[in-house]
Amino acid sequence: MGGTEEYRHTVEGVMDQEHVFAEENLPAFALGALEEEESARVREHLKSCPQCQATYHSYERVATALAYAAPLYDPPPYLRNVIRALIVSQSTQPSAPFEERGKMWKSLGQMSRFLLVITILLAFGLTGWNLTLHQRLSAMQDEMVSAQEMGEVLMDYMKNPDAYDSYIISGRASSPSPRALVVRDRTHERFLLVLEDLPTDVGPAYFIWLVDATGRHIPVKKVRCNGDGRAVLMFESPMPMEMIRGIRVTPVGREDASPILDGHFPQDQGYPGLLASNAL
Amino acid sequence: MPMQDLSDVELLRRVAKGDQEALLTLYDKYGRLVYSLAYRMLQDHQLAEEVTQDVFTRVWQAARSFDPKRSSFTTWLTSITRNRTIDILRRRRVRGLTGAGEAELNTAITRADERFIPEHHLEALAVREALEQLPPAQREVLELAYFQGMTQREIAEYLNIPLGTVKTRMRLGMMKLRDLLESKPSPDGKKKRRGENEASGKVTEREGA
Repeated sequence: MGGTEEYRHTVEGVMDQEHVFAEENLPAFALGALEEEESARVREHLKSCPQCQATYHSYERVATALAYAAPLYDPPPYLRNVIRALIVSQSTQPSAPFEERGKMWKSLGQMSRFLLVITILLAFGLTGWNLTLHQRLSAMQDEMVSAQEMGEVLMDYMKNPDAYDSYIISGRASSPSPRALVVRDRTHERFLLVLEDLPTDVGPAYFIWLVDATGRHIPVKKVRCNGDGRAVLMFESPMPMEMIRGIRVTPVGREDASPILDGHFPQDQGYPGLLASNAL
Repeated sequence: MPMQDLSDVELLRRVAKGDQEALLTLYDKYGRLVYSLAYRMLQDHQLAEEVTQDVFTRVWQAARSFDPKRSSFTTWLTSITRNRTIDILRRRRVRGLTGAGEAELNTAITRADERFIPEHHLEALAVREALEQLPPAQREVLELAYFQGMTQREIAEYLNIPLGTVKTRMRLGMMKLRDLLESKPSPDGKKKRRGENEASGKVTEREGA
């Protein structure tokens, strides 16, 4: 009995110590200002002490109120759309029929970054149809989930836009609807390509070709567009970028037919020049 | 009932069921608060955007786990915001970068606001007034802890004062701030009572002492 009593006193003593410790440290705990070991002690005590729980909640409300002491700023207007895009992409299974989906379309979180980059492109002054492109891209949020690799490129692009070139390739006079937005990452020698309004009547799959300085066409990727004629892809340059003169897109199975998109990077503006146009 | 008239808890219930509009309504209501808090802590608009985006994504993913009996939605939301932002601040410190906001320490809370946003006006006004009534030394440690994510030990090193002094200032500052805020009427005109759960509107427990 004596031993039991002694044990009980010891336990009570430890509990009192823990109570005193927690009570003294609850304000700092509510602010997240304790070291991890101290936080763990307080957290453990809170599990079994209603009195400290109530005190903690009162300090927790103070900590919450401190958030209102920050000067208030409006977030940029596009952020709402980015968040919308992000949750939509997380709500639905990706329906995008991209061929690379299995290995590339992994990171849901990168979708918003993609849209941010498109917004940045707009901010850099790209013209009318790009706005349409952006809006349409926003509308395809629920069928797109971007890739980790693509997200990295886009984040880099946002942080360091000078390291990238952006180009627009518009459709030929005979088939004006297809368009492509090309983001060229010079540092890592890779391309991000956004294709829109690809004609679905010639088939859902397309070859992407690079055109080198000698006029040779090098196939780099096959891509499948969705039912609305859209596709997004990224690929590494198979040769030094300065040797690449253009990009063309042809329907699979009809490689000998005229390309539906055929853009040449401007050489007279120097390497980082802006805007390729399609030869008519 | 229009979405914007629903309570936070009801909106969050809808979010948990996959209602995107409910999440966007919460964003409309609290996006500025989250963004402003992240910006205040990081002094970087791009990072503040990323944090805001992450926070609302987290709300979307974790709405089911929110328990209104444990805390209010704003407490939960600002905790997520601070945790995410403090991660960034601590990585910065590990990399030897000083907090971008340090130059503004002791000024952000007391300076006149750029703009008040109507739905946050009362809360902002109340907390600012309360903070102004604290001794500057107490206000300073609270600000370093809250907006810079510093622990008491880090604050002691930063200010080059004993750890015990930091603990005392923090404790007294928080106690006084709590008393000041509880003595003010909340936006609905009622005085807050200690132990009142904001989210459920029920008094759950009363502090003993």
